[in-house]
Amino acid sequence: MTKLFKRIFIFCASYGFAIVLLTFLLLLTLFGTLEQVDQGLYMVQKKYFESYFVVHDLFGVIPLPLPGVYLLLALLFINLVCGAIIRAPKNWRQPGMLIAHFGIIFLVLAGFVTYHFSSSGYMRLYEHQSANEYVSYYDWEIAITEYEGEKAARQFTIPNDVLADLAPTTVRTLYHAELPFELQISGFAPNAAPRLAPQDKGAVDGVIIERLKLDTNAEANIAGAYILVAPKSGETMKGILWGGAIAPWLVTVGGKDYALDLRHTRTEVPFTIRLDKFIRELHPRTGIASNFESEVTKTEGEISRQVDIKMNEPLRHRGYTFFQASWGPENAGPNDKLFSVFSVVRNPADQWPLYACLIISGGLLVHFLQKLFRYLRAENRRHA
Amino acid sequence: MKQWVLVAWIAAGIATGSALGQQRSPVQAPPQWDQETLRLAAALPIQDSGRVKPLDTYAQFTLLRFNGMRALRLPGGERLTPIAWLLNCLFYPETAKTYAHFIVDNSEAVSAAGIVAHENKRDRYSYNELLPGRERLFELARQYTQIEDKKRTPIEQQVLNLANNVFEFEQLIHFFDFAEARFRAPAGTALAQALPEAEGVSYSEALRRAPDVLLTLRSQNAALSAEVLEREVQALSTLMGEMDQAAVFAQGLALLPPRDAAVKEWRSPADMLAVAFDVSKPREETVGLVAFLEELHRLRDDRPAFRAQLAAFHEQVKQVAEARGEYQKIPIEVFFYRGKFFFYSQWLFVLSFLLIALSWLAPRRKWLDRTVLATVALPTVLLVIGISLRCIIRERPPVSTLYETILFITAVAVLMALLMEFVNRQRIAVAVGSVLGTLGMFIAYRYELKEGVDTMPSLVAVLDTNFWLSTHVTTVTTGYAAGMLSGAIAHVYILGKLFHFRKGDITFYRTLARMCYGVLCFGLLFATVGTILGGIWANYSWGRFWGWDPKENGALMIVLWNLVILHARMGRYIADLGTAMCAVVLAMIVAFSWWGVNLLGVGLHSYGFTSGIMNMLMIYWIAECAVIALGLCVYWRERTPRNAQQTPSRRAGPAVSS
Repeated sequence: MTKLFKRIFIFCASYGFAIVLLTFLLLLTLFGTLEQVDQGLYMVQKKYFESYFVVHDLFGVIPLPLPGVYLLLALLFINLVCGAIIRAPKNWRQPGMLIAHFGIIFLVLAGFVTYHFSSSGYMRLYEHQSANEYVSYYDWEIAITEYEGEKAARQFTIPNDVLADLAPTTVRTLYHAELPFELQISGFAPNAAPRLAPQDKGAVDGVIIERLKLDTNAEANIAGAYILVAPKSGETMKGILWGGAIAPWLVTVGGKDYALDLRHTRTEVPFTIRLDKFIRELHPRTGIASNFESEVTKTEGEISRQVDIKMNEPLRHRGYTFFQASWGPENAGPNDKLFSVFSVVRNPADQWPLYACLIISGGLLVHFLQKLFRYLRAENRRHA
Repeated sequence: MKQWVLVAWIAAGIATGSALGQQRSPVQAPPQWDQETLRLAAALPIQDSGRVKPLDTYAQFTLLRFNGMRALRLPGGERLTPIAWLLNCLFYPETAKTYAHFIVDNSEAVSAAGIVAHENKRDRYSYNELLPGRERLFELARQYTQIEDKKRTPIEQQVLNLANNVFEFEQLIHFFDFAEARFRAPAGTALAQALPEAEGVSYSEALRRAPDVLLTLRSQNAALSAEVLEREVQALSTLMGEMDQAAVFAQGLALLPPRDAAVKEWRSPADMLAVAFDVSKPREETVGLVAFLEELHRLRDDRPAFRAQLAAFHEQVKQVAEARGEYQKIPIEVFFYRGKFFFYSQWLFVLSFLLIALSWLAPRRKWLDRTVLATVALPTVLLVIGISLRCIIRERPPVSTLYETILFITAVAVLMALLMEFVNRQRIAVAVGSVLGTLGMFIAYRYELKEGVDTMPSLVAVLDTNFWLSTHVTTVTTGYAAGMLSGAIAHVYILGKLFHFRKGDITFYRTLARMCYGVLCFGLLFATVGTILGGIWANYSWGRFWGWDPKENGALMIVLWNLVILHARMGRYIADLGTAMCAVVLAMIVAFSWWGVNLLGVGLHSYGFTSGIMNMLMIYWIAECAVIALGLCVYWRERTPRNAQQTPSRRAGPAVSS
């Protein structure tokens, strides 16, 4: 058994294994890059870079099974730990390599933490508007708002995880102890549009949710689903939820009003951002932007602070980072109200790549300088 | 953007333009411009493409775009410099219309517009030759703008380019139309009192006097009857309409700097109409500069007087521009383009390679080694001076555009080659350096020609950061340079072995292999650090370290292949020949990352998009595949029993070893 472990360890620590992994990584990066033209970044990212296995159609016709980048990075991590840390000679002759490999391990870890524990979205604010939540670019949720009279009293959400894996024919029934009805979600489509089809059996008020091909620009996809509200007593109600709807679907159960809304996932932040002013500057006599800048007020409890968010100068606060992403409306006139869009990211490994970069640079520098000096000494001896 | 302008122009001005173009008269060549006039005109500042630059720069790139060359050769053999050409366009339109300066790559583009094509498929046409098909040309261009860029055929694109150039040319030849116009007001109006001259007043005089009438009308508004007020308003709006019509072509050249530094936009004579009549703001003294331009136009045939007027105008503009802090770099830029650093560098690199090739025939001498080194060092110095001047002019690090990557990568690769030559004196690195220098400068020249736009453009907001440009961009492009250099050395290794160059000279090939390996290590350091720095920049700008963007992926592929090579070498899966063949692959990957991903047209690095280089890139990749195949031939040849003992044995060792 020990012998087997030793052989496995030697294999995991070997150059050969490293070379195979790096070559596969390179191939997948190449294929993933080329595929972006047809499939768009989001789909490619899911298929090639966040997967365990992938089948790539070589030249568009030959199916080629390959390991996914996620799996490759996990294996590379093992290879690095075994080969570059545990098995590597630790002496002053080559400390640089040890340091550099440690930096790479740290970088792979940063990728792992970012992938699993980060969250991102956007916050769109018109001038003088405030918000304390950001909206996901891709994920969807169903929000159920309970009203007491005209006032929203409570909100329940069905998260993206429950919706994203729904097959077209799957029906999922959900309930909550504090809600007086069950929900049945069916026909979920990540990209859909409502269409008049009175003859269709599944139509609701003559309208169906038509499943559309996924857009290569994943942000442009608008989800849709059929929903059935089944009160514990009384008649069931069937409706359509569509991400592009202007207003939520309203139902009354047990004398209370409920609004059901399919929307991009929202995440609350523990402070409020108010856009005071948006500044857009162009290079003179061109349409090329020279500067985007948002003057915002960040309010947390009683404390307010004014901050400028501009390109390459984000606002970082309490683990959240706000970036100047875009603005609108695109065809705004000189006196029109503008809105600013912030990209919001929460990433526990936010600065890890910077540390990794410093470690790797230091390690490589030490190593190659040592090599260079050795080479120069050898050349000098040769010429002498 | 330009295409929209073109469409608007077609919609608005086909009829006007054709009428303007058809005034033919016997053309006489204008007298030559004296050197002082040309010097003054060249250094005249103009705001164009978002920055203030010398008029000479504007002229150079406009002529380059039209003509495919920076100078215009006339039928008599006379060679017009860009600034002389521009002056002739502005002041002698009838002559300029006869210049065959519209390059057409495929005569089908002109035939499509019903224009009689020349015998040669690729030829230059004059405006007068294109005139009969002008309307059809613009109509076709309007249709082709509706077609998506990627789906346009080369002929359609050429029609579009030609129409753009004709449109731009018409703006130049009619620029001074405003200077010839005279304006009068209807009798009995307040405006007529302000403009009493029977022969009418000039554009600048109307700009100076008419706004006062508007001010007076505003102040007396209540006291005037509705009928009078209507008459006065009508007179003013008629005048403004006439002035607008007269200056409609005078929009392209923003030669007039406002004194108020808070106003970023320089003015063209056409802009002055809106500025002068905006009586809610203090009057701009820029109005006075319009009169200078009119006077210049009036004196165009009197060379000494013209020169004096140009000097006075230049001085006035210079003072204002200096006060705005926008003139200081003008003389440096004029010097930069006059110096033709890159042109001389390119041809000196060619010369240096020829000298090096000749030097191989001679026995080794110390003085010969030094001479060889100097012949490559000289064009490198010129290249470095050129890059440095560009940094000074734009106050930016050396690389901020695709064009600048070519210059920088060439410079870094040649400098590395020189350094290696300095260390091992084999006359190989220096030869590789001169070849790379020649190729690099040739590509830079072709790229500049193909794009035909200012190579020091204004940057989009996200790129406008000297910190990241000087760290990420320079390091990652240094990684590219190392990749190309190692690939070039690998060629010498493979082809040398194939053709038995220095057969049996083991030291020579060991040195080559060491150089290749050394450059790979250097490249790995810079490519890795540069790629990670790019990620950190992306994290600051877009909120994510890595987004699998094609340009990011290209850089990652370079790093990964570098790692594969070095690990394969350390694990003894490959030896010197294998390393050389892998280095050729690395150069192919660098080409993909540098140019190939730009052809995909996706991703966030949109500033790097370019088209029309696919064929060159494919030829390059095929050629490199052939070199690798030749490397395999060498490998099979060396695997004969006599050489078999030289093949290294593999071992599965630790990932880190010496």
